Amino acid sequence: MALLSCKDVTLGYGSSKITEHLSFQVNENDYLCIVGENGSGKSTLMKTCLGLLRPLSGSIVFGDGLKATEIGYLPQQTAIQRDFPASCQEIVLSGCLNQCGLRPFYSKEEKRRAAQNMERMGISHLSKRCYRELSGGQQQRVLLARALCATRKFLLLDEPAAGLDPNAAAQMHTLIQQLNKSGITIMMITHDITGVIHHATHILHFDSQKIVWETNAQRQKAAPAPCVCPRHTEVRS
Amino acid sequence: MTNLLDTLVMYFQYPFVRRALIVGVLIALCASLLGVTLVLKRFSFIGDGLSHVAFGVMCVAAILHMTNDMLLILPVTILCAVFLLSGGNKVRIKGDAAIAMLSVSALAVGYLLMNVFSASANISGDVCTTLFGSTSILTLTGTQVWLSVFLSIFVIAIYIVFYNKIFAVTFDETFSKATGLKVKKYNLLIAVVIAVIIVLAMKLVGSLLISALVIFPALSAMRLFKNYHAVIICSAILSVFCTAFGILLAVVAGTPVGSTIVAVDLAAFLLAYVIGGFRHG
Amino acid sequence: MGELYRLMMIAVMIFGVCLVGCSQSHTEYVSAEESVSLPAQLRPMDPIVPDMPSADASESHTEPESAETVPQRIDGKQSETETVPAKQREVDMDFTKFNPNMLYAEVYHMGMSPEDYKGKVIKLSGIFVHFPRNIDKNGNPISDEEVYVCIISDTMACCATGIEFIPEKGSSFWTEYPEEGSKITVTGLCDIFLDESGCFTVIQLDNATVELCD
Repeated sequence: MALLSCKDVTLGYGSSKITEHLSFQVNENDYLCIVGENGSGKSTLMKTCLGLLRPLSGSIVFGDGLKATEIGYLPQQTAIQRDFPASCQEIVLSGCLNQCGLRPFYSKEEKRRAAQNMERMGISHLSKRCYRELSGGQQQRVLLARALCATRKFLLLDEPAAGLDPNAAAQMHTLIQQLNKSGITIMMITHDITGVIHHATHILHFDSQKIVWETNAQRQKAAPAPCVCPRHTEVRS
Repeated sequence: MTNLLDTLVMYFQYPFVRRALIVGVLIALCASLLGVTLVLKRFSFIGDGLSHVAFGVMCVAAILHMTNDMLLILPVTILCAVFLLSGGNKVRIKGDAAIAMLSVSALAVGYLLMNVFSASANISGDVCTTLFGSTSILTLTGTQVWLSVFLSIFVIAIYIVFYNKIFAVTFDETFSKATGLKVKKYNLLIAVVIAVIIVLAMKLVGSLLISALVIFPALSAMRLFKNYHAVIICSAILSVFCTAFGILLAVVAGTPVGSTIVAVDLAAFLLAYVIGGFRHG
Repeated sequence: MGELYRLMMIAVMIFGVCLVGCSQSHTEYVSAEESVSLPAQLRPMDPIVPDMPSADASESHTEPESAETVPQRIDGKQSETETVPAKQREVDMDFTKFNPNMLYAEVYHMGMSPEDYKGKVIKLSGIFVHFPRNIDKNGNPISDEEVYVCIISDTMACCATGIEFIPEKGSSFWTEYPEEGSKITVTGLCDIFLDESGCFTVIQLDNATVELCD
């Protein structure tokens, strides 16, 4: 079952196109890594999938009854957030907001879920601490816990290991792998392909010339990948 | 000391002093709540910008001899706030230049029009009062009092009901939008509420000093506390206390109300800064 | 060292704020025109106690009986009435202790809610001015009738308002009054009404007794 289907999508801003005729789909329990150079369109793709930007053409459809309010997202941190006076608990709880609707306050169930996700991320002991006092790795884990509060199925992550030291980055990748194993579909932009190459089930390469779509299994078996990008015919073996 | 108390008791017999206190405290409370959001979104200059626009519109209303100038000032200020704040990331890139231009033009054109069309006998007096709020809070009409009270209660209610959403939109607009929150609507709500507060606060501290009412309590609270809930509550309490103290001090000492309130806010901020420095090393 | 410096700055600021709050300024009047030195010849006007006025003196512009007397400014003459002590008048509202900002606000409110003040005996202080009641197109006075006003302004003299007072019948004020700009205390029966044009509110103290402030 495809959680996300992109059909013949053209990405860009205004009249400038970044990518054309992109088609792929993400199935349940997949772990998709999007890699590529800066400016190649990775973040644009993610933002378009999330509805933050409109595709210039083509369609992006969430399948399996997945609504916009059931997706979790880990964006890149802004300078404002690093200096924000909020406790970790408040930030993680804010991930439950998409399920609140017009209800002003969080329910007990939502508070329980937030505590559970903090436990999952190993940050329960930080729940009352101020967000701006945490290390980069801890802050990312808080944001990941928040993203988990927003979804049970599908997580989109934008460079989760950016700015982290190698240890923290490795821990982050392990965590994400565990989440995937527990049944959450992952779609992740990353620079560090080596860190995730063994975890991912699918890889989408954004290159200046072409987009390569391949599965891990294909790479290991060195068999030609079913290419879904008409722009490209070359197959990696 | 008893002399001071006697003087206070004497002034307190008069309804306009009691009304000034109630209205002033309510306005300051609203301003401090939204102040935290503004400061965290790096929009502190909005207070200045919108208040200058409100001053310009007030001048136009005076020239048109409008008895109730709120009818013109409120809608125009709200429109400007919506334009400046909820334009989203696109507008924000040119944000500070746009606000600077708008605010200074409104101030200049307003004053120019006042002089050219000389709507009142004492233009500098009126302008001075509107800009610095020396006695305007003490000279509220019945309608103004009721309007201020009603609007303040409305703002506080909105803030409590939408507290979590405002927090989410302040902390991470991108995440909120991506996970399905109607961020545009909440930004619009924040813009409207800020415009209302600024128009009300003009009566309390004058156009030039409104930013202080918005910024100081928030900054003081952020220096002292580390979680959002505590920051909001501390900001509200500080603001109420400083405003009440400032009004009473101005009444007793005969100093202009607006400047006195801001001076007390400043003193509180410096105190908070020092205490924060000791607490957090 | 930095913390100590900060602490000192805080202490200075708090001390300064306390000083302002505890000052005795509420008992003094800091008038914008205080710098004008008043001539030494000015004498205090002796208040003569009138009959107690009736509660509803709401008629406008009561013509003073001594209108035929031409009021004159007299300089340098000692008044025999100086030694007669002023009899205390029962005052409903005494605003002489108010600081200028508060007084200005109070007078503003008198105009806003006249019912609370009409018919009450009010005492307040301000600056004395007078001008002809009726003038022609060129600004020349038509008659000798004058308007006596007590000007109340806030501390910066930014905003000012005037309270007309009509001295009581038979008062020596009609024949001799202080120089313009002198500080006076007026006690009189308050009446508030719209003027002929219907646009402006007039606050008037009727049967007023006037004292010169030092």
